[in-house]
Amino acid sequence: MSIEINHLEHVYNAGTPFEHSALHGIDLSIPEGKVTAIIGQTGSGKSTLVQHLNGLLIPSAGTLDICGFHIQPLLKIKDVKALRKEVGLVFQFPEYQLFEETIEKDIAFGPKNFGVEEEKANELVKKILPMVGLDESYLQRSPFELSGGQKRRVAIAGILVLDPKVLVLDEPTAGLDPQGAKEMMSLFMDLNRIHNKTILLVSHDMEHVMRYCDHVIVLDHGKVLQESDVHTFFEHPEWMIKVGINPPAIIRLKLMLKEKGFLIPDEILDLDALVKCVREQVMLHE
Amino acid sequence: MDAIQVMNLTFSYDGQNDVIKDVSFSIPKGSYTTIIGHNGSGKSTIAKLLIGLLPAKSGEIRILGKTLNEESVYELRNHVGIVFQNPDNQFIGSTVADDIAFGLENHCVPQEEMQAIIESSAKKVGMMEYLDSEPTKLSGGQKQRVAIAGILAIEPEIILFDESTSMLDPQGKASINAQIKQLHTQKDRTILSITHDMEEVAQSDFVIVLKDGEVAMTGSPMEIFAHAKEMEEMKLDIPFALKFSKELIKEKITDQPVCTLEEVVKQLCQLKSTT
Amino acid sequence: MNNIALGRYLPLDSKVHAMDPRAKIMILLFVMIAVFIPAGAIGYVVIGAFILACLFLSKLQIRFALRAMKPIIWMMIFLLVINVLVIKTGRPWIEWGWFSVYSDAVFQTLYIAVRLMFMIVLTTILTATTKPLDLTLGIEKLLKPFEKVGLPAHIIAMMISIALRFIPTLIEETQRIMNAQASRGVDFENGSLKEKVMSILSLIVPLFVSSFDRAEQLANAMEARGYDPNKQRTRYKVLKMHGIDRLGMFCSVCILGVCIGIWLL
Repeated sequence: MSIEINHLEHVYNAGTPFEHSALHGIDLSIPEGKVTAIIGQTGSGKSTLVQHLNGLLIPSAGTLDICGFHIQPLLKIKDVKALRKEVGLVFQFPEYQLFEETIEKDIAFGPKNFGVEEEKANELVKKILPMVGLDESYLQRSPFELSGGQKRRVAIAGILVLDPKVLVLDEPTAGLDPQGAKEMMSLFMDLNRIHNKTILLVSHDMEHVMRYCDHVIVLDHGKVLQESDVHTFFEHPEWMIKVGINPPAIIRLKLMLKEKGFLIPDEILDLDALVKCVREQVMLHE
Repeated sequence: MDAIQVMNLTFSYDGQNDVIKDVSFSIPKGSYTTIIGHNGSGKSTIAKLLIGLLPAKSGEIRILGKTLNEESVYELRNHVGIVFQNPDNQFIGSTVADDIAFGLENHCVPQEEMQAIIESSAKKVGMMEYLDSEPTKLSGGQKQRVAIAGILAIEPEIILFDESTSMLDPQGKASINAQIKQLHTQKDRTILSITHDMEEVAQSDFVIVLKDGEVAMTGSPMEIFAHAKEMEEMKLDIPFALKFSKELIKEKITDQPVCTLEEVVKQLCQLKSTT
Repeated sequence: MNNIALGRYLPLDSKVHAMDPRAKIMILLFVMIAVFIPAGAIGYVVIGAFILACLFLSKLQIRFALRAMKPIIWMMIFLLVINVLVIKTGRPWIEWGWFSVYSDAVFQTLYIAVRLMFMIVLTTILTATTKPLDLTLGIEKLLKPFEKVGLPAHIIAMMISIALRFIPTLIEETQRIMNAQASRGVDFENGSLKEKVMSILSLIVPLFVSSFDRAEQLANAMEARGYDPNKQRTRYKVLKMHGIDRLGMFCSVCILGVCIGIWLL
């Protein structure tokens, strides 16, 4: 079942001098089983939108249908915990949510909150740890002695252990080195391809969006500016620049070459195809 | 004379495991050097050692010919500025102007001269309209620009960047990289940048590669990128432009590897027009 | 968390905003003392009029000032109940069997409520019209004479200003950690005592860890920028007293004088 968002609006601090409208009239249908990117500049409403998905925020107007839950204004979600089990939300810099003495306890914290017995929870932890690239020797170690990237893996495991159907990731690679970011992204791809999770990825990194996502949503000033599949999105990059998004290097190269009179079809989006295309045009002259 | 000279520098946090092992390098005045290395290679520790926030276990650091030690450190901070990683945790003032003023106050610049210096430094980084803004109203990139302005106000000869763009969004990253590039073209300022961003590395004069606390390689960006195997072993990426350039060479379209998009385009345009 | 009115700066353009923070602090001090002098109804009318004038001049909405008092409403109701039960002097107003309300009980409560209200509104005016940094600068300058007896006025001011600078950041951080833990199934409102302890731990521990991180990075940044608490520094902001500042202080001293006069005579 896809995620349906209808005329969603959100106003912070309504009725105070600090009133601030963050989302106005969002209509979206997010496909199940796909990797969807949500992009937009800082302050475009991405974080606000994402926090509606697991009931951290309740809409000021409009409705939201997700995993069999119908969310609407003024109504407290009856079983918000059940929703949060279905929709796992990983915040930016999640390593800052670790607090337990051992990694095992920290990851088991979530399941225990949802009423899973300690023994069962620890079993789940053992199963989940290899998924984030850590082995059992880490179980009894303190999360605070790990490196930044490892801490983040533990934090993400703390959500994965709940086995959510939908996984929402807010800038999961921010601050990681390129290698760490690559490993993190391939972890999410496995979750999507092997474990069939619906993934929503809030990202600034257009290289990641291009390489890993199926579907793209662009938010701007609290509105949906664009929604399309990833190919269509990158085939028409001109407007991307207009909105202030820095396109991936290959798209920038394409634009630069086009400006110099090279003929490059819109559908070329990978290195090999571009080399071939350029080659034909240079060789043609010889 | 070299701006920075590091000789047989060793450092450890706990007195046993050395995180910096017998590192030596020198950075010529007016150059733009980048330091790269995987996480935990000791990059950021080097930055803290260079600014005297950590004491060396052994070895020597010379800044502009002067040995860095407890007595000289305050004097030398007039000549070295540093921009750290986290934009929030280095914003000390409650407004942009106050933050730029912080360094001036520490260096006992007379009050009457401050306003002019603050304005001219803010102008240099394009933050003039924001002088009265509070940090919560600024983006990460803007905060980093304020940090740069705060350093420019002191007019140091050497500016260090310690992963200053790693927490920024692409726009912020691009604007800070452009700022660094621009700083490099002005005067004979020495720039040392610790970074993960290979596009930034490609625009520098000189690269130092660290591995497990030791200097693994030094050279120009092209020389470093040529060691593809070592780079891969150290889990370091190469810029997209170079990957593309290598493909062009493989296809026998070009014969000279280049590492920026501008150079790739230039090569191809030449080929197109000469034939 | 964004609804707190007490202690929040409101960037408006008014005469009170433009005043010297030292003058504002001194006025607050004088009027506060006046509030505590038992000068009867006339005293309160004078003080109340002055406060209303300040509110008007500062362009703050009365609604905003009143909201600052929300937290004490329950305290006042509690006090009223206690007073009604304990104080049995004055004229009896209501008598239902064992239950009786005497005039003094009500007056006593009203008396405390008015004092508290004055204090809160005054403080709200000060904080809403003065940037935190100006406030600390004012405090620092006022404490300057005490440096001779060993009071580190500058260090105190620096500590306050950094604390103020990081309050919004920490509130944001708290909110983020709460959201993150709520996403892991933590319920911050309900649950058994054990669950409550765990949920608080899950908030406090990360908050401490990240605050220590921040503190260390901040200390590094300050040191790298040449800060040494024991060294002489120049200051960017200078404070200047204007006519309105002197007038304000004069008025507040007069009010204090009137109240003392009524009390003694």
